[in-house]
Amino acid sequence: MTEKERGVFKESAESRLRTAACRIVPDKTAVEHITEGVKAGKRSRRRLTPKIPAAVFAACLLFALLCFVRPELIGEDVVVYAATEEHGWQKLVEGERILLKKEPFQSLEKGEMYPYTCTFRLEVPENYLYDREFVVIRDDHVDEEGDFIVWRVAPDRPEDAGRIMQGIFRLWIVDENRERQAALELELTKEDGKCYAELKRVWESSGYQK
Amino acid sequence: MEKRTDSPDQSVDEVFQEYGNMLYRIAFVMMKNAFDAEDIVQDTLIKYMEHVKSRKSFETEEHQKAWLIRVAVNLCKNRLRFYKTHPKIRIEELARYYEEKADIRLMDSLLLLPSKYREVLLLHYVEGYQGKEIARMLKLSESAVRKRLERGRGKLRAVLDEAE
Repeated sequence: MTEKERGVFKESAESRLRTAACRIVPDKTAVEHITEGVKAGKRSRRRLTPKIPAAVFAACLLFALLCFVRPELIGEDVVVYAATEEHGWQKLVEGERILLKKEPFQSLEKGEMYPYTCTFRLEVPENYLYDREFVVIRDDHVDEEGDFIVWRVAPDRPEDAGRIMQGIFRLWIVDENRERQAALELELTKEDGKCYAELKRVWESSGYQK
Repeated sequence: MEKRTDSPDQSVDEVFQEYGNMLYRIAFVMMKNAFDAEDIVQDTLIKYMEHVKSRKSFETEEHQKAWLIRVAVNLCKNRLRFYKTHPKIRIEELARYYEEKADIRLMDSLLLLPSKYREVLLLHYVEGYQGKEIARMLKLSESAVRKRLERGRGKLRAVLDEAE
């Protein structure tokens, strides 16, 4: 970009905002999802203000159950494993951030270069499948390769030096009718050249059978 | 001034058709991702339907629009507070909307700004509101809005410079 072009670009930035911003429109699926949700009176999937009494009650109930129920009687849930440097495949525990193993990788596609990858493995309970959504971190990419989920880690841009970069890989657990039953989030963080992951359960339907 | 008589039966589709894109745009710029934007629009419209069902009416169409914007912005702020995303910047998925690199760079730069600047820039330059109207909507003083607009513009240009 020449100096002149750069000047025009900067001058017209505010005026171009309107045109650019107006391109952001929900796609057909999003429109259906929103309008159906509103018609059904369903609030969003994420509860923002935890109800303390309910949370305390749930914690007590869970504690009581864990004390008296044998582990084999508790059903299977989604399990996410991550490749780690220290412990090999490590099962992710909700709310616990772990350091991931960065494996050297170079894409075969022309012009694309991801120096590292971090790998996850997912086990979904019987009768359930999963859908995925990813909010990218800059040039990073997440792909499925067979039973594995691969986070391709792009090099940091100079302007991101010292920043904590974060993206979310959301896993929708869906039943055989593709109805969403639960949502888990893998929070992917890049910090000081290291990659971390933390598993969070953000939502579960009342009908989700673990 | 014409008083709006919104019926509780006013269809969700109609309201969405009129304001859906605007609300989605605001939510996307504030939240920086599509699935939170969807949630925000959904929650805003549910609040709207509840408001209408409780037989509270809007004085004018502008009043209705401003009410929707205020609810959406507040929902975004609540959620951002919940995420505590302050030190964790840069979540983006702009590529799906743009082909031109300059557009991506512009929107990318806007998303880099703190939310207090993003919201006023969006309401002024995209939705076309004046400082006074923005002040009323966001419950700020007019001078605070002017200041945020001025600083927001400066920061946007600085980010654009840095991106080049």
